[in-house]
Amino acid sequence: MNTSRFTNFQSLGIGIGLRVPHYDHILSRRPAVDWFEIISENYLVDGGRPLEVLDQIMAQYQVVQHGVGLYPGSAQGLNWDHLRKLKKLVQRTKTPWISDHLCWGSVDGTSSHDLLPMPYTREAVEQCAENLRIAQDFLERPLAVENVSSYAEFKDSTMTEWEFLTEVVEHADCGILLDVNNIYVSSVNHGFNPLDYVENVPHERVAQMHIAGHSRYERFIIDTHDHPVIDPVWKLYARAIELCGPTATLLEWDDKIPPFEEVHAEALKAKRFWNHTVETRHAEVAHVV
Amino acid sequence: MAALREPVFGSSRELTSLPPRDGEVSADFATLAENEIISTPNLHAHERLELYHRQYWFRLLDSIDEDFPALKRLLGAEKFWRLIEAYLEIVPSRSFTLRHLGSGLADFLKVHPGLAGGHPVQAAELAQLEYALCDIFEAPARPAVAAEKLVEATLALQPHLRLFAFRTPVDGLWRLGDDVAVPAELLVLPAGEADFHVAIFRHQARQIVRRIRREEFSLLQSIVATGSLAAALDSSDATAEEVRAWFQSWTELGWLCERELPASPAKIKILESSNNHLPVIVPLHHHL
Repeated sequence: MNTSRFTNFQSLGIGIGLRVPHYDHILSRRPAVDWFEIISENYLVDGGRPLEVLDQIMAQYQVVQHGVGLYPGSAQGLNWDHLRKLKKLVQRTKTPWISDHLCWGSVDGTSSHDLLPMPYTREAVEQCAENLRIAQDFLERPLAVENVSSYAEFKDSTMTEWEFLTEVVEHADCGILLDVNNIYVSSVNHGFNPLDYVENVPHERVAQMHIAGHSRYERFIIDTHDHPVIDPVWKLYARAIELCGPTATLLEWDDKIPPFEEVHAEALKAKRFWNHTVETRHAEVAHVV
Repeated sequence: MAALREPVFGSSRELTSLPPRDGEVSADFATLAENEIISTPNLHAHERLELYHRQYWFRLLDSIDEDFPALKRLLGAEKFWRLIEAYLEIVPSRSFTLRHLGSGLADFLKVHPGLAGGHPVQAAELAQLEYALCDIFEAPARPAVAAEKLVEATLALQPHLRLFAFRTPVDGLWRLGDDVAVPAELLVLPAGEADFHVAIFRHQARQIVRRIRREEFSLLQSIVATGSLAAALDSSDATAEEVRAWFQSWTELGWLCERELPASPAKIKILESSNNHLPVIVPLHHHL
């Protein structure tokens, strides 16, 4: 299984996003789940129901923090108040690593509550890498940055998205949360081959993967996280696992959320690609021997 | 960011609950798309920017719709959405979470009573009540003070307890079901000072709205102001029997706790509730 300094030398299996409609099921049935991913911003609070539930979940399960508000692409730098809150939560959850998105989304304190795409330029690489380095040092946890799904590309871009991602993580010396569904969504919206993306990122830096469903319209795809994973995304995931090895994987399901068992069953489909990769590697070793 | 915050028009607007509005996005919006974004055979640059623009509005409108159901019922859908659109245009989110999106709505209604239909005071107070319900969801709960420490401890109220003195019986409006006509008496604006006292708090993972008597409200306020049970009781007109009953209830609900150290008068903020003249005193950190 894929462990490295980017996963804090911990190996996790198949996880699920912790969502409010599943709270009661998880707390009462205690299903066998490898780990839960929490949205950090849902728990950056002083107390109340969110932290009560989180503490109960943490008593039984490993949780990993995934954020939506770091905005490392911000030209105005990081929000230190936000970082301090994140660090307090990191100390509470003991998350092995922490992830957020390669994007921007806030200007002068006004938030878009969105993950907005970046121009893929040298200047943006340097800005993002500096912000990520600062955040990783301050949080004292390995930081993995996630590729976002996008609907627009900038004229100023001088490189592909995967080149940009690679440059950023190498300059920041951080990990990657490879969202396979996002690669697929963006490939359709922008007209590139998603395999080029998967094959050209630095695989040794991939700490975690995301899979999810999306909504296809006549002329574009929106990343809605409200459907099962489609076959082309599973195929892309299979290739990513071949290249990176079995990697901690999380299914995102954020809207029209079905019962817990359905979400868990969908997530566990990822295991078959792990098994296939492990068997293939064993066969290769046996052949050599 | 300025492009995202522009009002939505046309087909994007039709996908929302917002009432019809003539117009179109600004020339700056079109220029930004043309200058910065690549067009593809499937989507023009303007359409690609519009995808982000409409998602910004969908996300905010969905969130605020969940938080103010009773206000929406009072105003009716059309007036409610007109109010929310005006509010979001002027008061954008400055928080990392959408849970705080409605934090300024009550104050906005006080400044813009014309957007509240025929009942501006009720609307503002209802917005205050409904946002308090959101707010206490994530407020901490501190250990209740032990009975033997009640006399010598410096007391405070639970951070998840909010006290309001309203001019109108908005808790009655809040309790109405979706299909119930609003009784006329709930819409009358009483003369004089705010005289509807309400405690909003969390108990056993539920948010609760409870009407309390003026004397109970005053005693709780005195405890917050002085931190002293003896001093609060000295200034209270309540009978011993009333006080005993309130204490029993407060103990069961764990309303009283010890004031967080370092105790400082600077941590107390006095807020005016709607148009009344009765101060509502709550610890400042509730509102950060």
